[in-house]
Amino acid sequence: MTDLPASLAATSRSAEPVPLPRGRRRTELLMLAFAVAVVALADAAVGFGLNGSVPSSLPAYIGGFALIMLATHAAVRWLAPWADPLMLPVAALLNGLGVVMIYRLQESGRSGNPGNEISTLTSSAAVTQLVWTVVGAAAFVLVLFLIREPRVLQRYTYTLGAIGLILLAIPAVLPDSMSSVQGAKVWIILGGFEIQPGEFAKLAVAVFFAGYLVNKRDALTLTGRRILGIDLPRAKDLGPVLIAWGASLLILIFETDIGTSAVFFGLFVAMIYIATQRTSWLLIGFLLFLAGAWLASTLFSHVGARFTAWLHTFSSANINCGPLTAHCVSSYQLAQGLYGMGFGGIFGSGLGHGEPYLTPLAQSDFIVTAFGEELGLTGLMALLLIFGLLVQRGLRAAIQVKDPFAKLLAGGLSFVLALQVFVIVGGVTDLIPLTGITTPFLSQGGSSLVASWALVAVLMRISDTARKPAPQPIQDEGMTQVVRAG
Amino acid sequence: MNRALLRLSIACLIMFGLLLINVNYVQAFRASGLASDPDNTRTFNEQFQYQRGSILATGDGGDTKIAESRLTAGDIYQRSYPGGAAYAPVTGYDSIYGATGIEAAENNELSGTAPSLEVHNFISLITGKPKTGATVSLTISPLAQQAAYQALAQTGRSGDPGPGVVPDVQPEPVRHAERHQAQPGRRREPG
Repeated sequence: MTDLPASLAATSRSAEPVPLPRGRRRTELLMLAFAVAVVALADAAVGFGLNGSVPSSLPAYIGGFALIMLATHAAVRWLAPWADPLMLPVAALLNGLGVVMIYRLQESGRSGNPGNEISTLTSSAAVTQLVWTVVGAAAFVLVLFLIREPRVLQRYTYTLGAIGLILLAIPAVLPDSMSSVQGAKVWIILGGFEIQPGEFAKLAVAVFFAGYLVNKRDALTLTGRRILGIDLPRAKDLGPVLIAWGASLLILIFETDIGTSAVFFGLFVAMIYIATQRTSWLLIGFLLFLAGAWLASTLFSHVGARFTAWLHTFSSANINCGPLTAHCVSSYQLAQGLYGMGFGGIFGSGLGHGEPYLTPLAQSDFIVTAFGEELGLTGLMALLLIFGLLVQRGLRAAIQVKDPFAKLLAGGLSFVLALQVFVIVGGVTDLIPLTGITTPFLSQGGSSLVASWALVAVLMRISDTARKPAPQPIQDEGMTQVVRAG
Repeated sequence: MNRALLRLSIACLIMFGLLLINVNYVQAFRASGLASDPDNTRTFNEQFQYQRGSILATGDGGDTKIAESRLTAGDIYQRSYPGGAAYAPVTGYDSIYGATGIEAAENNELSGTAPSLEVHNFISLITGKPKTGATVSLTISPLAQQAAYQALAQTGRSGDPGPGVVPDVQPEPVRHAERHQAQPGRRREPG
């Protein structure tokens, strides 16, 4: 907003046109074209790597993808002309690369290509993911269309909070056959359709936290006692934190999903910290999380087993422990992912030249190791930086925007994106214990993709509000006339 | 709230920094250890995808191939030892159980990963030539080796000593190298 003073100065009763700050939509279009080009080249590289020719499906896939992205760009021009120009291209690039990797995995071992066929991946997985991309783009446009100002969301603080909690709780109360896939009870399965409600709950709960904390921040900031140099909140203000902690612990227990519970709790602690600026909340949150994790790892064998698999990844006892063995989580998948990354080395084997299909679930939880194997350290670092860029643009919007609710929401959503990338990428690269959550935009699966697009839409709406120039005063008001009464 | 947001940005920076450091650790520092891990089926499978270098015996002025990789019907390269048992103590073998002899000692050259081959590999990468290993020439004389082998064979021990018999010319028990040659395939099924 550096040109704002200039535009203000120019309004002083001159008839010349006022220079407006630029919306940078042309930059966005250019970067979007670049993103689509990268995706097209990656798709072509997959074909060359697998059987030495450009895939015959490339024009249809890439053409379709380019059209979807062009449509979202047009929608941004119409609905959020001042929004950050980098968010959409970054989201498009990540989405496109995810589809390409799913296509690569789907093709291995099929139609004469080298490699083993992946039984958990159908031969139309890439098309399905493209269809979900359309749904995601539609959700993106819909969010921009329905929420013309971040403040609109504030009205639904408690409604969305309730929806978020219900969405989170549904898989816990459903019978296993309708909610459990490979041990994680986080799904709603209805007639062959699988939805991960937690992905959407994340957004709803972020809105609720933002609305709630904007109302309560004074009480949370100003009251309390100072003990040992730390401002401690009053006991009664601790209530909501304890509730959030309890809820995330309940997810952990009933849905056996540490990743989601860590992401939710991290989101809450981060947002309460933004709202109050008090370090004590971070401290309390961190201690509560550690206590919860310790409690869970001692009480529930499946949590403790994850720690063992993380600490002793290559011990044959962990690698060979099958799903039938109780109190044990196989580290076979983790070890395979790491072997793949080590095999890829610095420059990678090249798309289509590696063997990422050896890692179970390379298309969802372990898609990052598949990228690491085929694009190497170089490609994986680029991928992480692209995620970092999206987080940074979101945080920038949070800092720029003036409305405290929008500030909190943008800060929380950006942080939750970073946290989710950290938890899953850190998990599959052996930095932290592995918990199966989705990689935003990359993983196979509709819920995560649609929710990620909706998240970016909210960030773009907030960035649009932040970068929108102040309403221009009417240019020629004429002379002020004095009307004599009587 | 901006101060808190800035601090949160730093927290995000640290998270991404940790991820970047960790992938560097895995893919650069630990990479060769992970790639050469005997349990890593990828590296094992890979050797069927390119032509491993030949081993030549050049002692008599000619080039006698005593180990070579040939493309077989399944589109994979398989190691064979044309000299057979006579050269087995020299060549050793390359198998899923590891390698012995020259196959082990000159593995970096034969597999094309030696530092001296980097320029060559880079040019191949750019020109799109398939990866191949380097040929290793030995100063062994095929005539002398054959003579020694036959002489040993005539003693009735057929070059394959029983327990406790260690011939002085051929220091290691001679096994048919082909018997140990690598078979493609996966070594461990997911548990």
